[in-house]
Amino acid sequence: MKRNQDPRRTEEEIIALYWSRNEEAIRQTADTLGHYCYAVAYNILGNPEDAEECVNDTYLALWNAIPPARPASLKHFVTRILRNLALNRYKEQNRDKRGGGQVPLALEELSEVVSDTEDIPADYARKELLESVTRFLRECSPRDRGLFLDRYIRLEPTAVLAERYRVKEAQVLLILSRTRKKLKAQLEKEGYTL
Amino acid sequence: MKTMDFLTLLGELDETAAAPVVKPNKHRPLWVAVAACFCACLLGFSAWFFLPPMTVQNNDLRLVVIRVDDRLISYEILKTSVMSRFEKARLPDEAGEVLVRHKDCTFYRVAGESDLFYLIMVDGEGKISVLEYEDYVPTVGMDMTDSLLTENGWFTEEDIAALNVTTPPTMGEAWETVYGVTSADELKSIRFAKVYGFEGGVESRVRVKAVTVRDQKSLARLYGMLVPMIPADYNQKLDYGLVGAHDEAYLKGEAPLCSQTARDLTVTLTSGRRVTLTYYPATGLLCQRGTRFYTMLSKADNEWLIDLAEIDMSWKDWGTEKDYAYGGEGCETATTPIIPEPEAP
Repeated sequence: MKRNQDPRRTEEEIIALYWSRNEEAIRQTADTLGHYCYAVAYNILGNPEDAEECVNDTYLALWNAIPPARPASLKHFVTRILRNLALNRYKEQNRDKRGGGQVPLALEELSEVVSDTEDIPADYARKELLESVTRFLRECSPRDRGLFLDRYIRLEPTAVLAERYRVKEAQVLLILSRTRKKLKAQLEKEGYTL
Repeated sequence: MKTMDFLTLLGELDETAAAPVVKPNKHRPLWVAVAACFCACLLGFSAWFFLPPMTVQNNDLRLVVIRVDDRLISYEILKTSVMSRFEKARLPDEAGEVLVRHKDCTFYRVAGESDLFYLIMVDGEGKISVLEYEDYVPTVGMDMTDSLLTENGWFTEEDIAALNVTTPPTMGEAWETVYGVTSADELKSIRFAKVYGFEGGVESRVRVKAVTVRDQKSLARLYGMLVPMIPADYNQKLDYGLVGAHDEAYLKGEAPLCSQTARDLTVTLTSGRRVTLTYYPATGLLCQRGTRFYTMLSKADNEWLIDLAEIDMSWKDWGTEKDYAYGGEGCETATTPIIPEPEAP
C-alpha cells in the first residue's frame, strides 16, 4: 500500500474522467489547477470576483470541450480556454472603462511588436504567424523564453517574475524588452509587418 | 494588427513546442559553492602533485656507468625531470641499501628487489633518478670504456684498479648480477617473435610465426648455451656476421636473409622479469638490447635454435631493404645467400 499518496490525479487520468463523462473530472481539475487558473484569470482581470467567475466558466468550457478534444497537456489546454475567456471578459470591461490587471501593461509592451492597426493582411495566416513566434521562442534562451511565456500568456506581473527568476524587476523589464525587439526583427525578416 | 489580437493570438501558442526546457534559476545553497571551491582546489592540488611538470628538462646525462664489484655496468636514466611530485616524494622510501658511491652520486638498490635491473640514483644536488639496466660493459680497454671511466670524473684510480680487466664477463655472470638468475630453473619460457626494426625495414614486413617454448629440457639447453657466451669485441671484425644494412655482406645480398629470419628471443624469468635478445639465425649471432653482440653460436646450437623457433630459412622476396643511413639505398635484389660455416667458439 502506498503511503502519503497524492490524492490528486495525473493529467491523463483527469482527461480520462472527462471522456467518461464523470463529474469528478471538474473537481480534480479544480484541485490540481485551481490556484493556477485563478492566478492567470486575476492577472488578466485584476478583480477577485471576476477571476473566480472566469475560472468557473473555464471548467464548464472544459466539460464541453472534452470530449471530443483530447489535449496532450491539460494545463496548456486549460490556459488557452481560460485566457480567451478572461481576455473576452476584459474587452467587455474595458468598453465600460472597468477592470485592470496586467492586460493594459502587456498591451502597451506588445505595441512595440505590432502597429495596433485594424488591418490584418489576408495572407497572414494565424497559424503561420504562430509558427514563426514558436520558432523564435525555441531559439531564445530558456530564461528569456520562460519570461516571455509567463508574461504574455499567463500575464504574470513583472514583480512576481522577478522573484521567481531571482533577478531584479528592472532586469525582467529589460529582458522582455530585448525579446520583443528581437521578435519584431525576426517577424519583419520573415516578411510580416504587423 | 491590433495589439489585443496579437495578445489573444499568443494564447494559442503551443507551449510544449516553445516551452522552457529548464526550470528557472534557483539560488544555490552556500554549501554547494563551498563544496565546488573545495573540489576545484583539490583538483588543482592533485594535478600539481600527481601530474608530471609541463616543462620537460632534458637530462644531458642519459647513460651512466657504475662499478658493481669488479665489473662495469651501464644504466639508462629514465627521465627524472618528468616525474610527478608524488613519484619523487615516494622515491626515497623506495630506495633500499646503498650499492655503490661515485663521487657525489649514490646508487641505491630498489627496496624489496633482489636484482639490479632498476637502481635509484641520488646526485649531489639531491636530484633523484631511476636507472634501468642497459648493458654489461666488457673488460676495460674494449669499446668506449676508457672514456666512460674518465668523462664524469667519478672513478678514482682505486676504482679503476679494482676492475677486472682481463676476463670478459659472460652472459651468465651478467644475468646473475642484474637479474638474479643462477640456474635454468629460474627460466619460465622462451618466446620467439617478430623483430620490430626501423620503419621500412624488411623486419617490419616479414610475416613471422611466434613460438613459445616452455619445456624444461629446452629451457635448460638454452640456459646452458647462453651462460658461457662472452661479448664480441667491437674491434674485432665478425667476418660474415654483421647484420647492419650498411655492411658489405648486406650489400651483397646476405643481410636481407638476416633481416627476414631475425627473431626477438624473450626469456621470461620466474621473477617476472624479461630478458630480450635479438637472434640472427642466418649468422648465428645473439644481440642484447640492440647494442651488444655476443660471440657466435656453434653450428649445432644454431641449428637447434632454428628448429626450436620454427624459422623458415629459405630466402623470400620481402621487398627492398631501406637503410636510412645510406640515403634510402639498399639492396635492390637479394641473391640466395651463402651461409658460411661458423668457426668453432
